[in-house]
Amino acid sequence: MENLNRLAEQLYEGEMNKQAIRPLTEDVPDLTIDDAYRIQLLNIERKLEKGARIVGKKIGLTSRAMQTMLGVDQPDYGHLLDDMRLKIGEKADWGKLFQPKVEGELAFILKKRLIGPGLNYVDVLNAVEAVIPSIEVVDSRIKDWKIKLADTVADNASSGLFLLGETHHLVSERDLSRMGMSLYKNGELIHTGVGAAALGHPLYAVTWLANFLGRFDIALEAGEVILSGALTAAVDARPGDMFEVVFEGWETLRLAF
Amino acid sequence: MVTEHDLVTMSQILLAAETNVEAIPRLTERYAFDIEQAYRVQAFLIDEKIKKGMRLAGYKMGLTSPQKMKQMQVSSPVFGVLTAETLLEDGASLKKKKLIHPRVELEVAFVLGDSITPEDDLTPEALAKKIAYTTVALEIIDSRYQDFRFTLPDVIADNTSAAYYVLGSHFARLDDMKASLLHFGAQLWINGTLQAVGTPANVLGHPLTALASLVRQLHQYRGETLKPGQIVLTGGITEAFAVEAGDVIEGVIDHLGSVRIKVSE
Repeated sequence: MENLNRLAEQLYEGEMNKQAIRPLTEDVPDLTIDDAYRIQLLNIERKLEKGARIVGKKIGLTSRAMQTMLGVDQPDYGHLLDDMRLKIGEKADWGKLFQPKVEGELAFILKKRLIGPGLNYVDVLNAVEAVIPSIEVVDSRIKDWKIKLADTVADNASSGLFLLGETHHLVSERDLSRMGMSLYKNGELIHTGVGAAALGHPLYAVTWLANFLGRFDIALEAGEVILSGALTAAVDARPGDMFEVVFEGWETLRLAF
Repeated sequence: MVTEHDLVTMSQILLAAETNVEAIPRLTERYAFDIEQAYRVQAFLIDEKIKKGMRLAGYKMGLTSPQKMKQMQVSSPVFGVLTAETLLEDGASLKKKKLIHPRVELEVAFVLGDSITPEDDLTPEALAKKIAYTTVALEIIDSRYQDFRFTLPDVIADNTSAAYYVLGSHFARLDDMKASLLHFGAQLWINGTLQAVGTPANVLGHPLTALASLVRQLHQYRGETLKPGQIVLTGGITEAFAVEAGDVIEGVIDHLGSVRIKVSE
């Protein structure tokens, strides 16, 4: 535990001093995923003590490309805090960022508490209030994104900032697995994706999360925002960049750095 | 006449057949039991599954097509129980060796937004308002009886051949549609071949009529009512087709989208 506290402290200090750190797994090669989640929780608790509020959770590593890159066969998750949320039209503040990347995904707002394990996607469907297009800015406090799974898990699943669209939609409006998404950077098309990229269906991704969190006795709470996973690979952002993410038929989200 | 003990024994025989993936002779060859008793056997069988940690997720209707009702010489459909654990994801792979002689059916599925009791207005118009989501579904049925042959009490006791089910990726709202669910074109594709077509009108004249029938029978035989969030499979739109390892099965219903399943060894 002392070891975990020390590793959590390294990450926390790195974040506060805006100094990217060496991968935790360089010092502790056998860092387990469960311990990495404990480190994540230690730092979340620390931020809560300082007044931050949990507003939701994010699912990471939902795409096969990311899973292959890290040599894993399942997603991971991180916490969304109130101070990570951008308002529409607000610039992403470079002062807080390390080496951000941009992703487009679908976010869900829950109306009912979900606690796994043993849930299926209809349980999740019944708990969803609305679906909203979103941009997630992922970021890593680990130098040069040299992450192994345990590193990103400890680092709050490489969470950074997130932006939610203006309009809340009903799940019934569209086949979410077929929702097309195009990501533009400075006017140039970089990536295209589709809802099914998130574990086959964004609702399946949330189902995975609810069941996974059951292991830690953590619930997805009513009112929480769940970012269900990137629909394309993440795109590097630099100061001055302008991103546009088109969610077919719904909304185009814009984010400037 | 059969005793209470016999009914429990029958449920155990059926469960063992399912677990061992081994077809059994019809129970009606050994026991004389009626429809009411058959639903008691089904209830014992489900209780046992729930004791093992499974969860009730909803209900399915069976024998809903005019052909099947004629074939079985019955005038009303039958219902079975769906468990949460046998729901598969769209695109999932199903292991054939876990099943005896599986068949697939294309259906309309509802996810309920409200509870429904026999005292409620059970007209299609009124019922439509109590449905949160409508989607296309594939049901994998697997009779525990040899040669898929059974009498009405047999199939009821066997939880109406329920095995697995998968819902499509679009959870639609009937209110949003200009067309009537009744006439949505439905297609069942197996390995790229259009195997069967139809419309939901084949389901007792209307899938919502099947739902009304479920409400009444559930009350009559179980003293139960439908609850919000429960799933209802309304019954096959086309006949059931045998599935083999290697098959890719896709169901499409106009306005409701598609659903797919792969069958592996």
